[in-house]
Amino acid sequence: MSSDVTTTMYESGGIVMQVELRELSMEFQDVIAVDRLNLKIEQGKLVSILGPSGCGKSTTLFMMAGIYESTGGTILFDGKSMNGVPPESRGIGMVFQNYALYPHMTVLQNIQFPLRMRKMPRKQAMERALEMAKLVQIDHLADRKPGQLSGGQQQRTAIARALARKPDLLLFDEPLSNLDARLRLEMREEIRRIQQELQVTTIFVTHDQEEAMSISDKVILMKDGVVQQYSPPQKMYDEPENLFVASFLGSPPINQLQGSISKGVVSLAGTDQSIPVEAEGQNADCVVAVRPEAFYKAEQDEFHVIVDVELVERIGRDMIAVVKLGGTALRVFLAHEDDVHAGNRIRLGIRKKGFHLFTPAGERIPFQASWFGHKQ
Amino acid sequence: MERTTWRASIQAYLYLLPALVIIVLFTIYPIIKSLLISFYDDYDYFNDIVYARGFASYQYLWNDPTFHKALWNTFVFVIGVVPASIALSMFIAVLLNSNIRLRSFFRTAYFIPFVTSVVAVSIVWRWIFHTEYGLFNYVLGLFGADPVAWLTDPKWAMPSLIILSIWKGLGYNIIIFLAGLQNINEQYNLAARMDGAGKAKRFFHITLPLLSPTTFFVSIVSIIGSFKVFDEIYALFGGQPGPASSALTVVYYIFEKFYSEWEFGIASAAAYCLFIIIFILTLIQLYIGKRKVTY
Repeated sequence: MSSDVTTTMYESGGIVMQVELRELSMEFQDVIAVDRLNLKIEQGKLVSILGPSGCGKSTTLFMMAGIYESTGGTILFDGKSMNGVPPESRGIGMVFQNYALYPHMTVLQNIQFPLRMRKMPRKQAMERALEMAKLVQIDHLADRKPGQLSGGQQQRTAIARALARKPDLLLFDEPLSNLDARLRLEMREEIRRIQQELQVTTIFVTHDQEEAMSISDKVILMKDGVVQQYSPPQKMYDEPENLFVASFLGSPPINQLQGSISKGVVSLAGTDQSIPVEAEGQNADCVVAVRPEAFYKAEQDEFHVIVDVELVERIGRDMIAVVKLGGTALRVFLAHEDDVHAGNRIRLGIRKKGFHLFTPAGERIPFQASWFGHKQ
Repeated sequence: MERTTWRASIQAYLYLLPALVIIVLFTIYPIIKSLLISFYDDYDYFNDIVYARGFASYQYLWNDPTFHKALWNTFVFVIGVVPASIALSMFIAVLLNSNIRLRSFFRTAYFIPFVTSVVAVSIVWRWIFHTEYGLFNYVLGLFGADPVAWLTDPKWAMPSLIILSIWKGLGYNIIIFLAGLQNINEQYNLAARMDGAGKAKRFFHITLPLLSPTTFFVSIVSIIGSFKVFDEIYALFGGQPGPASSALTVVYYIFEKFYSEWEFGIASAAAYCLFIIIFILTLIQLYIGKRKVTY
């Protein structure tokens, strides 16, 4: 059913758009919200802009929408500069954080609004609006006013309105933050489904890493107006380009240990233990970052560090242990069957995949892991 | 909820008493008394003796061409003032609500007429409207128009009064509209822009409907206020209801009957006619408002 909708909707081609930002900057009085952004968003992809609050992600989105006029740089849609083009002429659909449904119009009138503004004949607009309502599964609510809808239904209406006039670009500004946990999960799958069905270039702003990781083709991670990393989500998790990226992603967060690099090993500060690693530098301070799931309970014959178990939590299928290594508390995922109790002294091996080295300033240090372990 | 006890109720009534006494004495008693007076056909005011009761006062009004003229003038006045005042003040409020320079200066400037005494305002306007030395005729003269006898020509007295009243009412209406505009979430405007609506379309499709509760309130208050117009006439025409009674309104009629002619029964009956007209119009407005102002 919905695939018919798709074909009728998007049969007139040329709707998927490539977005490029060149040296894009935004300054508010004395704050630089966005600092010389350069990136390209490929057509038909869903890209998330992720970051802590105040990192400039919404500002970037509002500049693409044309609501903010950038103070420097250019936004290009399919190679055309958007500088000075007002929002109403950019051909963008946008879903706002609080949906911004027009309270005096019914669901159907809301969805029709962008079509009527384009002077589409009443009958045709009605048909299209009904199609869109079907696509987001709210056609049974067509005559309700927004005040009579639940959060999820309002969200669906807002998406239908944004999609109604076949936008070249679809923008989401933290669309799920007003929904409860279960609905959030449902709506994010829904957004992904609709986006993949329509293949419309989509930009999705969120501060929730799980949201960004689960629905995006690529993630832009920002901090203080600067892009930290732009890559597919799994790559961002596995190969963080700096300590901020490593620490922002993952829950519980990545473990950080102070250490120093010397010949063939990284010695861990406050202990006499070390990890065999080949890296440039002599007595250079570094930060050892290890994902909680990269630890495992090791055998005698492989590389391991010795830690004291302080606390064991069993949460459903997981077991999280808080362990002490030379004064630093680490969070460690252990296997369910591991027989570990608070007060034990245990051996922990490290998988090479979740192990990273950074300079104290947070830059990535290239290294060669040279320890022997049973698990990869 | 606390339970209603006699103790608590009596205490509350005690607090309400001072205001209640004043309201009963100066509002409720006169309302009832004037209703009774309107049925006094023959009345000795000084000794408060009623010789005859009946419908003579209402009969008189039914047949009095002056009263009909007053009614007609009042309707002309309301129709001349209310729509124009609402449209103009909404327009100015929208302008003042946007980001313009000296915004707070303009807000104050537009509010000044509302806080200024009607008498002072009317003196200034008497000069503006003056046939020979007035500002209006001077400006008209620049365009080659003949001078208009604004205040002395019966044809122009009502337009002059309407112009003054529109101007006088702007300040209050603008303030109310501004408050209403600021209650409208900016997000709707942004969403409409993203939906491809230009400035005019955003105004008519988003701002105007969302402002409708305010417009409704302003229209009720303005209509009631305009039906009761009196001081502007009194001051503008120097204690006359315009040349040849051309600006005689219902309240002015009541005033004349009461204070000049001592026809207390007729004055009360006219007051009740006005009350019933306003009451019916307000009911109609409430009915329309219920159907139009729902979201």
